[in-house]
Order: sequence, then C-alpha cells, then structure tokens
Amino acid sequence: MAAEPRREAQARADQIRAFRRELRALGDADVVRLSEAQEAEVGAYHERLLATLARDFDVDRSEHQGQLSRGLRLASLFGAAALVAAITALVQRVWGGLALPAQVTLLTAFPLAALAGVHVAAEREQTRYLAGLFALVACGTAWFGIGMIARLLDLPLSELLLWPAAAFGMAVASSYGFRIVFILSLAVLVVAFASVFFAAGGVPWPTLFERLEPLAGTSFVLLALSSHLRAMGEGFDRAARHTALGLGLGALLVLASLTGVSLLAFAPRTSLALYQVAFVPVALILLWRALRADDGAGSGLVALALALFLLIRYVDWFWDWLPAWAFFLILAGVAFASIAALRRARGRVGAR
Amino acid sequence: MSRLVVAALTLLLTVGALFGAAAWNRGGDVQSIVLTERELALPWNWPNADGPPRLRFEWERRTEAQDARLWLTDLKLRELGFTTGVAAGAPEAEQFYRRSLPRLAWVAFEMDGAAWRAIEQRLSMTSAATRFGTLPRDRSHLVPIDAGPDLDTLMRRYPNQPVVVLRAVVEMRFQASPKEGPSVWGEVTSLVTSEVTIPAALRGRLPATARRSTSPPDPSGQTPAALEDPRYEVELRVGRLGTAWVHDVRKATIDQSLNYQSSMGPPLPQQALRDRLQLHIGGPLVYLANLRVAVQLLHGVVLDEAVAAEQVDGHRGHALGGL
Repeated sequence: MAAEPRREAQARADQIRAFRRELRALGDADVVRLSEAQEAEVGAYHERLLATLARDFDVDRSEHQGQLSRGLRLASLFGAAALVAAITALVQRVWGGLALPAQVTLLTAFPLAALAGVHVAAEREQTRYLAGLFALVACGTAWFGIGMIARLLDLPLSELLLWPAAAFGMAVASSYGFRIVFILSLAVLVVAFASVFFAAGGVPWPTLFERLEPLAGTSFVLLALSSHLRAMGEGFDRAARHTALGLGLGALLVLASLTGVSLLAFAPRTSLALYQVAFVPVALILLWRALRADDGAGSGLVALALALFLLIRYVDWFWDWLPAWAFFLILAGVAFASIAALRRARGRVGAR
Repeated sequence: MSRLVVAALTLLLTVGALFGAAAWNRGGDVQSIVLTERELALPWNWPNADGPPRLRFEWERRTEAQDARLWLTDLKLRELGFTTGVAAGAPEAEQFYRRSLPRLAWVAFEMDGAAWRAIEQRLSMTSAATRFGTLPRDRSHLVPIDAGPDLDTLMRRYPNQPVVVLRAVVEMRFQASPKEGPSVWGEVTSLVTSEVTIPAALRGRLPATARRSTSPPDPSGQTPAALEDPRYEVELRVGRLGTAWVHDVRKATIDQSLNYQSSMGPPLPQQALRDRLQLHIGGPLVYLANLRVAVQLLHGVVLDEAVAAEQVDGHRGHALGGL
C-alpha cells in the first residue's frame, strides 16, 4: 500500500478531530448547537469512519497518538542506523576467521534477509514503521556488502558500483513507498550520473566532490524531471524535488562560498564572483516555483539556502572591517526588517 | 513483492558481476613481482585491525620536483591529459597548476632497481634522508619510473624486469620556493587499489605483529628509529584490469637492507660514486643516456636543472674536487 492514501486518511481523521473541537467551541459561544439526535448521528458516523480509517490505514486518532507516531518514525530511523552499524561492526570483527566464500555469503545474506523482513513486516502492519526499518537495513547492508566484496576481490571501488547500488535502493523504495530509502538512492544516482563526466575525461570520480558543477548540474536536471517520478510511488515526485533542491543548492552554495571548487576556466576569484551573482536569482526563481507549487518543505529548503548564503556573504564581506557591535547590530536590524516585511506579506495574504 | 525480488536479483547479479570481473582480471597474461614488507605493509595495529586483513602499498613518492621530472616528464604529463604549457615562472602558473584536475594513469613501478639506487644514493648524501621520519634503509624500494595512458604499451616497455604496472592517480604540483624559485612537477598521489587482501590460507604466514622499531627513538628527534628488517616477501600478481592480488606469502629470504652502506652520514667517495657515477664525472666522454640526463632534459625538463645533472655536478664539486 502506498504512503499517499495513508496521508489522505490521516488528513481526514485530523479534519474530524478539528470539526469536533470547532463544534464544541461554537456550542460554548452559543452560536450554533446541534440537537442531541443530530449530534449522535454525526458522532456515530465519525466513529465508524475513524474505525475504518484506523483499521485500513492505522491513522492516529488523537494528538497523543500522533506524537507517539512521530516517536515511532524516529525510533525506526535510529533502529535502522544502529542495526546497520551493528552488522558492519560484527562483520568487521569476525572477518579474520572466515574464508572468502563465507565472507561473501555473509555479506549477501544480510540484505537478502532484510528484504524478506521488509515483505513480512509490510504484510503485517499498516504503518510500515518496521518495514521501513528493514528497508533501510537492506539498503545499508547491500551498499556495504557491494563495496566490501569488491575490496575482498581486490577490485577498485569504481564509479560503476554506484549504478547497481542506486538500482537496488530504487527497487526497495518503490516496493512499499519508502521515501527515505528513495531519497538516499536518488542521491547515489545523482552522484553516479555526475561521476560519468569525470570518468569519461580520465579523472578519478571522487573528484566530483571537489569540483561541484557536474553535481549541481545533475541535481538541477533531476529537479526538472522530478514530476515524472510520481509513477514510481506516491509522493516520490516531491521527495525527488527536495533531494534535487538540497543537493543542487548545497553545491551552488559551496561554489559561491569557496575558491578552488569550480571547473570554470576563470581565475578562482572570478568564478566565485560569478556564482555569488548567480546564486540569488537562481534561489529566488526556485523559491517562486516552490511557493507556486504550494510546496512548503521545498520553499523552506530554498529559504534556508538563501539565508545561509546571505549570512556567509555578510560575514565574508564585513567581519574584518566592522567592529563586532556594529556587525551584530546590523544583523539584528536585518532580522527586524525581515519581521516587518513578513508581517506585511502575511497581512496581504490574509486579506485575499 | 515483485520489486523486492528485483532488488534481490540486482544484488545477486552485482555480486556475480564482481566475481566475473575478478576472474577476468586474473585470467590471461598477468604481471608478477616479489615485494617485501617495506613495499606491502601490515596495518599498524595488526593483528587487531578491524575489517578484512589487507596489506598497504608503500612506494617511493618522488615528491621532489627535480627527481619527479626525471621520470614524469612534460611529454608524459601531456600524454596523460595534463596541460603543461604555462611556464613555472609565469604569474598565472600557480593558479593554473593548482586548478589542474588529477588524472588516472598507468604507472610502472620498479622494484629495487636503478631508480631506487639513485634515490638511495642521493638520500645518503643529504639531510632529506630523515625528512620523512624513516631511515632510507627502511623506505620502500618500489619506485615509479614511467607512466602512460595505455597498460599494454607500458608492459611491453619493461619485459623481464622487476617492474609492475598499476593504475594510479597523478596530480600536478606547484611550489614557489624562495631559494630555488617556482617549479612544477607531477606526482603519483595514490593508487586506485591502494591495498591488497591477504587470502585466508596465507594469513598464517604473516608475522604476529606489525613492523616495529629496533632502536629507541633519538631524544633530539634528528634521527628516526630504525625498523625491523622485512620479515616476509609477497608474490604479487597484477591482472588485465591492472589490479593486484596476493599470490603467495613467504619468509623474507634476502635481507636487502644489508646492501645499504651508510644510514645517515656522508658516504666515502668510492661509496658515493658506485653504480658508474665516477665514469660520468671523471671520464672524457660522458654517455649521458646512461644517466638519463640528456634524454630527460629533452623530454621537457625545461623549468629547472634535472637532478641527475645536478647530482653529477655536486659530486664533481665535493667528492672529486681534485680530479
């Protein structure tokens, strides 16, 4: 079952809770009050609906349940990371005593067992917390295993290994709509595509982390294509958009902040200035697009990148020649100006 | 469910492909060379190191500009894809070479050959011997001597010699020394596979501990402590993909360190001028190709004096001033 119907079911349950609260408030203010029969009828309908939603989608029926669900999500993430760490540490520890066939069997068995765990858990629980944990473990151990088997066979950690790693993650992510696995696999895929640029030129592929244009370019291509990824799973288009924004703007931010990380044939200072000039319009266009698409997380990501860029520029330009008190006073002034601008914007939005 | 099956198949196919690549690498003509503990070192925390037991390649880095240009000439750097047109003294040189991207290359490493002896000789006469915290006798005798874009060409160039060709990363270096002026050179900064796995069957033949020092450290910090002599030899094989694997491990039979004449102090003239150097200095007709002086100069060592030439000149001035 995909994650999006569950999201819609949860939204419906939240609506019912809000309706009940508002109805109580209207009654207390003597604005409107349902008759006992009407109240019973509406209440019974909502209870039936909530029971159905809880049975089919395991939705949270109260605020407390919602808080516990967020805890469950965090716990499953933490559990997956800890389980992968435990497996890799165990493998590293017992390694010396094992022959190659046993080592390879062990490295292959862990992700396969985790895949079986994904299937069993997904069939038994609606929330997919446990299945999501197994999916992360499957990916972590598979990626570790592929790298380790290559090393055992004395093969280089080539960029070619990124492709099956990404394919494995994509297949796992799309099986039951695991978005975190999808984001991680997509990041591996972006790195794989960017590495082609360097490998084709006879340059070691890890250089892509030192010269960031191919990574930024690939991320923005992904951003343009992200809407097509909806077919892979509900919500995957949004996850792809956020992954692309994170990677692309992150790379662009580094390019606009540090010298020596650009491939451009200009002097380092010129490249830096070019990226600094380009960053603000690029970020504003992306922000406008995110706002138009009503993408809260996307616009938050762009706004964060823009704020970081402005802060870095401000420190870079003014820290050395402004006294500390004036430096922080200007920062406070910017914060007040932002508050004023945002209040005005909020008032206009509210007036519509 | 079906997508989980796809994931499982992807994993199994990848593992199969890795085994296929390893088999293909090890099939056909392979290179073979015997290295010692100096060139293939155990992890420092052996045998308690986590992870699969592996031996780490150590090679003579040849990080000095003059020495590097003896073997990695301008011509070879251009063959590898580097642009070397900007003179080291040009104002834009530093910026230009620091921006240069690293390149993958096939590099021929010679084991305990003429290149190592020349380096050893030079080290014995200079304070550079202690610069890297290791006595010359304890340093790797594996020396890069040639590089190119094609594996087969390099392999054909060194038949029946203790030379192994490995995939490596080469980078351009720029240094503006106040004394010697600016210089540009290429350097092997890493190997694509910098370690080799020790097969389980051969693990028992390795010593129980990592290589230790045999003397207490010099309190003044001027002289590094001497290390144990190499205790094992490894027969290394390199396949068609240019990646190496351990074929055999045995107890070291030849103590190559005994050939070393003087660990630190200036050598006697007859020691300093072994390996035919005396002929080149004192003889009326100098066949420079023997010393690789002219050849290397013509190959693009245009930015500074080649080290061999400097070495000859230095000997003439000091060791054999009366000739």
